[in-house]
Amino acid sequence: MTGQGCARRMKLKISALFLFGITILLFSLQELRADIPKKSEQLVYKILAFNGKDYSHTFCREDAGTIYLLAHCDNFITIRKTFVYFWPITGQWNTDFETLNEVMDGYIEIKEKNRLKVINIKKVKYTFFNIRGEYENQWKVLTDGEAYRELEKWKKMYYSYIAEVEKYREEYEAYRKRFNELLKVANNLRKRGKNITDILQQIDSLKQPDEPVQPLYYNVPPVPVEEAYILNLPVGEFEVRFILPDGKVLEGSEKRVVSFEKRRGRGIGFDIIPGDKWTRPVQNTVLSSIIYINGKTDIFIRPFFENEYNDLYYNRLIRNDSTGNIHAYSWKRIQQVPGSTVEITYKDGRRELIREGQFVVEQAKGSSLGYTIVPYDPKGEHAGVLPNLIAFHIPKEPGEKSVELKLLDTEQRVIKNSEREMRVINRERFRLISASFIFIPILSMFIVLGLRRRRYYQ
Amino acid sequence: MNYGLHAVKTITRRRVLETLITPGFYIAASAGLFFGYILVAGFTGSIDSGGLTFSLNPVYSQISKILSSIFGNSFVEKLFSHGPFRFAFLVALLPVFCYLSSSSVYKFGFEKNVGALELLNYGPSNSFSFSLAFLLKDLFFSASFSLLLVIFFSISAFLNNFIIGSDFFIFVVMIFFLVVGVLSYGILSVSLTDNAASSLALFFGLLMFFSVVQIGSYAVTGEYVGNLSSAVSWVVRWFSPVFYWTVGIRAAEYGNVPLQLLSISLLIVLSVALLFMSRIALFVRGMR
Repeated sequence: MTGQGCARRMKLKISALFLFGITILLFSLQELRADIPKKSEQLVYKILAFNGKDYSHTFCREDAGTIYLLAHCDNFITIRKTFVYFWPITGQWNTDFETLNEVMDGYIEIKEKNRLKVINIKKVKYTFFNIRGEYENQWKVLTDGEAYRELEKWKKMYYSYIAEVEKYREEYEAYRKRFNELLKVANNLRKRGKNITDILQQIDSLKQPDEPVQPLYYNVPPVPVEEAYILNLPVGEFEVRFILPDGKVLEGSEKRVVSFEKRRGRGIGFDIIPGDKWTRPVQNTVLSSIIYINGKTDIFIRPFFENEYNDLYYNRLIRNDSTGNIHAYSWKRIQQVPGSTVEITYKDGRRELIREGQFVVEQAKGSSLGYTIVPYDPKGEHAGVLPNLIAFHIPKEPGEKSVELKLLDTEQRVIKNSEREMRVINRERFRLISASFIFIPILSMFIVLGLRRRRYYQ
Repeated sequence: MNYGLHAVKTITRRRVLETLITPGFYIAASAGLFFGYILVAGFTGSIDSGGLTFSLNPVYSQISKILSSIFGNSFVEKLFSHGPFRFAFLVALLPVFCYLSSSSVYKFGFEKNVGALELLNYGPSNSFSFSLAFLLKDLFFSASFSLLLVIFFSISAFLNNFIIGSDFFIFVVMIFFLVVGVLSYGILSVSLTDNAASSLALFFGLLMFFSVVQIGSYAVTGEYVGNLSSAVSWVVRWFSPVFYWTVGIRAAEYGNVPLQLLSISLLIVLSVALLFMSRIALFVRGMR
């Protein structure tokens, strides 16, 4: 082989390597691009579904075949064309209603699975609101004229309250002005050595205006009137599709609807708030479960009502693209238990009633970290400060290894499903004694094999 | 006494003795207790001032992550709602169960293959009494180890101030019947195959298949996998001891005693049917 040929071969090799390197680099650069999600135009079911405690928004995209709704509740559905995209950071599907939001006109056709009867649902104007009450049933839905009337009622209440606030501000301003004037006069008179009794009497007789009370009728005021198809279904599986004004079925609108209900209701769950980590409560939702704690600090508890739902169905009711276990049921928080008392029973039979209290978290003074939770004193040192925590305080009892707690209602009756046992674990005592158990079989083995060997040699 | 029964009793006693003088069972039992210890100790390490916090202990952090990703959070929450014992019992029993079942299946298959049973067949024993003795031996050791685990966990519970609830004891009883069902499949595997290795492969293959199908139909998966798994499970579950066990456990969870008793009865029926099938197989195929 000539030297020239050899050099040419070498050049070719280097060029090939260079090209290979460039290609790899280009492929790598492709991975460094900004991750812009691809949006696709889809027909979606926009769902405003009741979830047992309030209303939550979700949507059912084209690829998702099933809509999940709570039975015997009003749920609001609209059919729209919009852009849908997958957001990898959260692993969720999202809509872009700002760019495209074409509401489809027509009606919904629904029939129970394996049944012939078809029901047509027409679009209605609606509002919903929540009025104050004890449990979950305070949500009201009104349609058409009633919806507008309720909204008007709320507006009236609201504007009347605003007017009262305005009036209060003016009266308070006048009061403050008059108070300052009289104070000034009193100071001047005192400086001149004159009697100020009359002025002081006038100051005392000044009446501070009463602050108007916010309208308490609504927990959640009526939402502005909108148009939707209301689906209030019994428990079961349904087939739903959308019919256009010309009578044709809208392509891609066929879906399955699973209408489900709670398996058990009126369960009681607890937020367990440790005194040393008050911002990180632990939820205890499983009925009659044991609350294990390390007993190093006081405990604050907050009871709440809970309902038990199918895990998958409920998760998809909240967000249609989420996952869950179709065979499992989980307890979902509904709302706090109002007006209750906690009864604590100690091992020696002592009983103690604990009422709900308000507490303030006080940061440790100086440069050291830490805090203490103290009872709220609105008229004393905590005047002008709102409480940080409203809960039942269970103080740390040295030597108490287990307490039973239950919730009593306003008439001092035990609230069903509220019984729990709280146990303080002994971490240190366990290790050596339990670990010695591991060696029992091995020791037995040596004994048995030793005996056998002895017998064999005899 | 019936000669057949006497043969079963004698062979069982012989098998029990054989297991007792070999180190395998003791090592497996120690491994099981070690796993049980780690899980109970890990659980105590996961308890914070406000309750159970899995992230505090590296073992439980991983376990909860894996179980949650397969079965969902609510499953994990319920599994540990009374303490660590149900999960710890299951994990602790695994080494012993694997040792007992694999050694029995392998040994039975091997002895069948080399013709060691031919001699026995001239006496009052037959292939069925021989296979039944294997099953009884395994049940004896499973029950003994379960008892040891119950004592171990009871002492741990007392020392740590945990509660061993009635649900744990129901769980232990249900596990025992599951073991009966699974070991019956072991006998059937030996009856259907020609050598020890294929018996073992068939047995563990079946066990894996039933477990995967049951887990697949219960796991949090995509709609397609879930539907496929459920469809396969619908066919397979009638032959699966894992299915009947799951039904029993779920019935116990909601205090449905009749359903629980039914699931136990079905596990027994399944075991009897499997033993009967293995008897027919041994009769047809012959046994040296």
